[in-house]
Order: sequence, then C-alpha cells, then structure tokens
Amino acid sequence: MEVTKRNSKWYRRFTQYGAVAVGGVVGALLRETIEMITPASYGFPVATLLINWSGSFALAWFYTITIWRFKVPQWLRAGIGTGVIGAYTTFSTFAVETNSLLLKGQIMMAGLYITLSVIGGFFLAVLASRLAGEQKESLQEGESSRNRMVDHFGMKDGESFVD
Amino acid sequence: MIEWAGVAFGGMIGACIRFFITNRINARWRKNFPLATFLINITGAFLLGFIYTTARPNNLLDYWLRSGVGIGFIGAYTTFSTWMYESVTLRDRRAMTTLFVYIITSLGMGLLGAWIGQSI
Repeated sequence: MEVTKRNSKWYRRFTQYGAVAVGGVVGALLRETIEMITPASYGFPVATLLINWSGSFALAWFYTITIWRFKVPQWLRAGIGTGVIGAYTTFSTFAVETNSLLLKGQIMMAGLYITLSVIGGFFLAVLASRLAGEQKESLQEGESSRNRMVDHFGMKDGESFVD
Repeated sequence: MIEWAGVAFGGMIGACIRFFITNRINARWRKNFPLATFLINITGAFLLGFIYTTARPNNLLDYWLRSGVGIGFIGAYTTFSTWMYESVTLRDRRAMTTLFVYIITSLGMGLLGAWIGQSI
C-alpha cells in the first residue's frame, strides 16, 4: 500500500495516543465523580464495585459490537476502550481496598468484595458480549469468538493495536 | 477544584502509559496469557498501596500526590474492565486453564503487591 499521510505509522500513532489521552481524562474524572457521590456503606467499597461492574459491561459490549456491527477507526476503539473505559475502571484501588479490609481483620467483607467484583464483573462481561453478539447481523455460529481472538491478540508486527 | 486538575492530568498520562506498554508487549508476546494487563495491574497495585500509606492527606503536597498520582495516574493506568474482557475472551477460546491462572495470579499478585506497598 502506498504510504500516505493517513496510513503512515506516525499519523496512526498520533491519533491513537491523542484519543487515549483525551479518553483517559474523561474516564478518570468520571470515576472520581462516582467515587465522590457514592456513599460508603459500613466500610464496604460500593463505589469501586459499581464502577468496575459498569465498566466491565461497557467494555465487553463496546469491543464486541465494534467488531460486528459498527466498524470504527482504530483511534476511536483505543480512545473509548483503553482511554475512557480503561481509565474509568481500576484494579489498583480494588486491590488496595481489599488489602485494607484484610489488614483491618474484616476477612468476610474482603472475601465478599473479591467475589462480587470478580464473579460479577466476569458475568456482566459475558452478558455484554452475548448481547452485542446477538445484535450483530447474520454471522455464522462459531465465527464470533474466533474472529474476536484474532482481533484481540493477533495484531501484526509494528501495528498499534490494543484492547 | 485543584485536585480535579490533578486527576485529569494523571488520568491522561496513566492511560497513555498503559497504551504504550500494552502495545509494546503485545507486539512480541504471542501466548494466550494477557501478560501486558497482568504486569500493569500488579505494578499499579503495588504503587497505589505505597502512595496511600506514604502520603498523608493533611499535607498539601501529599494531597496532590494522592489525587493526581494515586487516583488519576495509577487509577487510569490499571484496569479492571480489560481484565474481565480478556477473561471472557479466554473463555470463548476454551483456554480454561489460562483463564483460571489469569484470574488467580492477578488477584494473588495484586493483593500481594498492594500489601507490600502498604507495608514498606
């Protein structure tokens, strides 16, 4: 392919990093807003749980639907997926909150938090990708998951491609 | 108001660094195990644990450090949603052992990282 401005490596990188940067600002502010307006109940980290649940659902839906129904440019996929939703959800706060509960001796609470976060998040992500999969138009059985794997892990050398 | 600027700026940097690291690792790593997200999440858990115990909320500089670096930067750097999405992807590929190992090691190493960070 002829190297033009639009498909040059640097142009692609520039637009992708720009989208991730803008998305990161939006996602981080959104999380901070929800952390502030959601009251903690009996020391249980409700806010982070709600954030991680909604983000897991949103990301699985977005990544699946953009493969099948809406072909979006890579910068938009990176900007919303890695930028907005990636910055919105957080693993570090989840780990530190769990550890703080454990250090306070609230073992049951920590166990409940881990279980709800991981099992709930996983279930919501499965649900979202099913939902998005059903919204796709006429695809053969089995093709969905195979192509998703190619999309997710099978990037070519030198290509910026992140989920 | 000023801490929102810190969160926004930190979020911007954190998201970009994760994007960079993921791209770099994924360009070489060919196995099913999502190594990039795994490494990002456990290092982020350690860093956040460290900052939360080291920085005191009553000190202005530390307050900045907590909101800008802790909430903004590390919060945006680490990700829960990609962890879950990758797990679903592994399930779709019937890579059940990898799925199990990914969930358990992320949890175990993440908690260990946070604990080390909070303890030192």
